[in-house]
Amino acid sequence: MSALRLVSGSCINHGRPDRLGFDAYASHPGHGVFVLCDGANSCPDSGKAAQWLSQSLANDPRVFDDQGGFDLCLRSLHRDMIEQFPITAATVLALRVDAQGMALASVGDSRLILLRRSLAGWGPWRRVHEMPRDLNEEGHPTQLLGSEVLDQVHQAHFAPRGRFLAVLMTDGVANSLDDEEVFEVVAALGRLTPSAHDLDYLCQTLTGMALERGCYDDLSVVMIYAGFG
Amino acid sequence: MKLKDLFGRKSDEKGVEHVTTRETDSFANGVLFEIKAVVGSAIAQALQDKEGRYMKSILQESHFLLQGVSIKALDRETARLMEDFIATHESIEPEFRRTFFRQILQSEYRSSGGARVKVMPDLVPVIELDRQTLEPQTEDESFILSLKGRRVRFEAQAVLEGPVRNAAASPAAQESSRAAGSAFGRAATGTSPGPRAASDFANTQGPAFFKSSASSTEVRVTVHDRAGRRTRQVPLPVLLGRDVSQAQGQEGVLGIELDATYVSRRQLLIFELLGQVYCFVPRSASLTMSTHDQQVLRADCLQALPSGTKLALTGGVPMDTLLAPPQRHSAADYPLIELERAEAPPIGQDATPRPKAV
Repeated sequence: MSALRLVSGSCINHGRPDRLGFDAYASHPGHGVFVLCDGANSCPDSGKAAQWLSQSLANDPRVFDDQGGFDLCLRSLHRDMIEQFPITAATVLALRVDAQGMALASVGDSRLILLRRSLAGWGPWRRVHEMPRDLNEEGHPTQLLGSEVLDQVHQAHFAPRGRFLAVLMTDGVANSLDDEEVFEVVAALGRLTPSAHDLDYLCQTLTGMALERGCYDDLSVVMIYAGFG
Repeated sequence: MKLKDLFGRKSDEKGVEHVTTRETDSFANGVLFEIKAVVGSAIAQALQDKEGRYMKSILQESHFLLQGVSIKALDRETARLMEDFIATHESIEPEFRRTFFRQILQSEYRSSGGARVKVMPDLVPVIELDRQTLEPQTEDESFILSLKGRRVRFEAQAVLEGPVRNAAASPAAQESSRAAGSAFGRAATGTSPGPRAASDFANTQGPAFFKSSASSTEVRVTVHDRAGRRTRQVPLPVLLGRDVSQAQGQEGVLGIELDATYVSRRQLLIFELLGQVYCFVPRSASLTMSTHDQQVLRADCLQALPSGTKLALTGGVPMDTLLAPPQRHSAADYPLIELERAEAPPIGQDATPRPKAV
């Protein structure tokens, strides 16, 4: 079994004070579970629903189920959410990291990019995977947790090899910044294991850049560093 | 030593009249040096506490901001002298506290680890007088102090925020620019200066004008120059130019740097007056700009930026010409600035809809 170094940082609901409160982040670092949700801001209670969803998922032991994992868990929470918060909806980005590897899940229009250090950890960060975003031509989400539509829970799994950096962004940041800008910010990470302060700084930098672009949406970024071996 | 020095006054001092330093001046001189040292140590300590948490590569591309400094007098006598000193000077010059502490704070502090602290020019340290300092020293305390030798009269604590990425405008500057309020809107209603008068006023009044003209209106500024293309949405007033770092904070203006060959230090100022957004090339600029239809902006003449329109300006136009020179395609030489008033969508209009089953 390989040794695992896990560090996380975040910047949640950054932006204009009159438009905040629809993004929610919860984690269970002991279990290696991290969840970022964005409530649909057309429904007033979606902020509360997003908070409930993120906390429920982060603390749900079913995410470790080998058969179902995130899919089983999210479909069950989707039904609970419809009962508890009937006219709301939220996106979800989730990550589970343990010595067996890294599992990713997503529903909705938030964005999750997975980067890995190339050249056995000595090269620059390279994108190894990006979770699909559920968007229509108008840029609106086609499926959300708690809404009338939940067709597919996107999932991916990665073996425990190398150093990963998962960048989770809600749509405010994801739509304001291009890949080049995100990679330029991430490039500031040196070769050593980052601290939570380093990752907080990078998350704040990305949300700050999106705010400067004039984004009026909630701005949230979470970064999770996972070093195996 | 010369022979005559043995019999009285030193030869070098012969004919020199000694003027006794006034008590307040002597206190000011001593205190300035002492507080400077104490504040420097406090900032170094705060920086040392913070910098260890970050990677060197992050410290190199960012800086901390000095959020506040509090200075505490450690004994009753010093507290009394300090209070009297500030009160006396403030009764003559209301801005004395700011002027005095500007001499104490450097604009930037650095650590050996590569971290930097930037100090906003309008930051004024807080002088703390607590109950302990107002109580007279006991005999034991006085004895201990005399044993230690030089008496330490002040201690300071510094609070840092950040780190903030170097390229980005400091949030504090933006915040102070916003926090200054929309006083100009109110003041202007009373005096009703015309557009041209506002330009003159901005030039002559300088910092006071900018500080009072901060507004909640934002503009979207897109700059094409040697550094490439970048867009920022910023609160007004905004100054664009080659070297605008000094203006930032000091004058309550947000600065946007232009990196191009033909650009003035202070190229273009954008501000709001009575709900309208205007821009103008200050009189101090050596070059001006032209609009998309080759109309040259004359120094100090206001150009309106109506809602819903985009104004494109190209730099590198000599001041004494009425015709814009052709062939200004290289953004590295002739910067292109696009201005657009940022209209916030009403809350709910840009909302994410809840997906429905078809």
